[in-house]
Amino acid sequence: MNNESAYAQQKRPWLPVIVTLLIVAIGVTWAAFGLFKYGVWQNRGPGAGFFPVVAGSGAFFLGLIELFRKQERAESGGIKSIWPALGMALAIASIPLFGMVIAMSIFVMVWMALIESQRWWKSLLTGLGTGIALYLLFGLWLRVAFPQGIIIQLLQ
Amino acid sequence: MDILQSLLQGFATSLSFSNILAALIGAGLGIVIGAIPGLGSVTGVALLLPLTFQMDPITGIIMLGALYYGCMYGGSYSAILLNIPGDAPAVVTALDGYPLSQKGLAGKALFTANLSSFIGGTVGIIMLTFLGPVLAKVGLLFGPAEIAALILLALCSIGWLLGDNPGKGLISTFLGILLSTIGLGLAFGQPRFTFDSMYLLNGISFIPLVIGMFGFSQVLDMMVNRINTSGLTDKLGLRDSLLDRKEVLRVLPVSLRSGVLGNLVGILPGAGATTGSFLAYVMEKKVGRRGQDLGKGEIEGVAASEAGNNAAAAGSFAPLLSLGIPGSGTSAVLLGGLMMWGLQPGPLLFQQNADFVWGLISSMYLGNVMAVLAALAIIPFLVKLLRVPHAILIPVIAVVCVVGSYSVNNSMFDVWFMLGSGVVAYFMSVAKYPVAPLLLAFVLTPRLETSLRQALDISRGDPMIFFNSPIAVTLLSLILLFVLYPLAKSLFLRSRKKSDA
Repeated sequence: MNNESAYAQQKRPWLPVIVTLLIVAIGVTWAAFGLFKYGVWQNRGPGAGFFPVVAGSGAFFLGLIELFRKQERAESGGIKSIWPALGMALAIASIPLFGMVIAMSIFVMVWMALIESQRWWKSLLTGLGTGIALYLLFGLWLRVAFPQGIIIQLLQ
Repeated sequence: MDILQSLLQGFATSLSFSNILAALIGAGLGIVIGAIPGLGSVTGVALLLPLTFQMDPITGIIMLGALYYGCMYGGSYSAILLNIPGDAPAVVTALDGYPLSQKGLAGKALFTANLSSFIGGTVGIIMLTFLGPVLAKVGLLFGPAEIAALILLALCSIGWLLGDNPGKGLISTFLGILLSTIGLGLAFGQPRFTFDSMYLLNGISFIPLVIGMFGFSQVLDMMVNRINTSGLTDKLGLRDSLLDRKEVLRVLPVSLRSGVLGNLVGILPGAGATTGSFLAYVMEKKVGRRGQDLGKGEIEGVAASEAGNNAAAAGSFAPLLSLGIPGSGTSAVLLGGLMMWGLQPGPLLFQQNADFVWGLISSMYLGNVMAVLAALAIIPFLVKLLRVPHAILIPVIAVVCVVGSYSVNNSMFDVWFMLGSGVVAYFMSVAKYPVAPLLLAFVLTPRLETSLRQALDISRGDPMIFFNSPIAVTLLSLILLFVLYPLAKSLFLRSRKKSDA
């Protein structure tokens, strides 16, 4: 994560609180499962629940302490990151349809054209270049079995 | 003298035109494979192994050895340039490498990585040459109790060393431990926290996690904050990448001591290059002149991690050749290769196949030299990557994240997991929780859990096993020092502030 990036005035002081609350919840869940389901000490040694209890309790108590401390100023951005993440999720969801290589080429083209406002031919060329590079490097040389996608399978 | 003579004979065997060419090809391929996130030295060696069966065994092992070294060099490139560690040890390299890149010193960071990799690797190979069999026996002194104490030492130092807020560093460490407990625990044979998902039975795959937490969260950050790097790309020529005399003198001692420590960690069965590079970084943070500034973009941080990592890689050959016990995943694949060539690694290998063993050891020198030459030659091309406009770089890095996480297990679940962990890591960073402690704890914990269980199984539940071993006692004392010293220091400073007021 970039530490040098510009810090905006803190608009969302609740974001660090939510993250810490989630950590506290995860800690208590892990500790409870470790304690009641997996067992802390079994057969004269640490059981499957030993580490979940130790680390879960640690995360829980330190998280609580963190909640009561004065909150540090969060980095800027926060919630805006949902849009690029959603765009990526859409591209990943389209892999079973188009196949890995074509889906990733389309992703690069659409991203460059719509989000980065690049000229269409530049977006098209970069998308095609990405697809060709992926196919040559991963498909041909390293023989990674990429998902082909329903459309290619139907065409075959 | 015997050793020197044998080594010279080894050089006579390995320094033929075809072997040098094989080393150069292996090193080049290794750098490319190591630099691609998701593919590490295990994949590289496994991919090349079938091709080398048609070669002379010595040429084959030279190529594989050079590829192994090349991967170690390449793993740091994506960590330094894009903040996407190519493999687990490169997580430590990214701590200082990427901040250096952001300061416009990517070339110097890459040069430091190459130079210290070379020094660390050479220290490791020299130690392997002269002390190999002895080191392997030292490695055997480390039973489960000692390994558990060593990994506990590494774990205890994570939270205190990384990040400005030790509380958040510790929470992040605990989260890493929690994540590592997902799946079928090796020590217990019982699925934990799988929530009835078959994808989680084998646990969380490290590479998709690291690509998401470092790489994809970086994409989100670049999108949201739109970091302007245009002014930073002016100093990216080869001349600007070279270290000056003062900088070389800063890197040299760090690389030497990290190389020795990394090599000693590398010979321990299962401790691995990540533990080697991290402990070297911890040592530098504690004893180095600029220890306090590590993590903010210091060449010493890159040097410690890379020298430790490469020396550990050389160290893992000691138990492989002397005892037939692979010290890392890659040396396990190499063990398979040696056996397919009809060689049986173990105490008799040095006597029965002396030509081969010394050919191999001399080829490691050759591989290291070829890898550093190939690596230095491509620095000017690598740093040009930073000149690529963000409009192209951001979607292409996102694609690399997707493809890299898929390639590990050919699994779409890993791709979704990468995306999820990227978003989580982004919000953690927004809330100022450091991500690196989580990843390091995630790598180290399974080994600690297994060793702890094994140690107590051996002693039938008697915890005195940790206090009867001088090695374990020393390591446990160091842990107390690591935990108590910062506590005592902060309490002392607080009381002094109060009394001053």
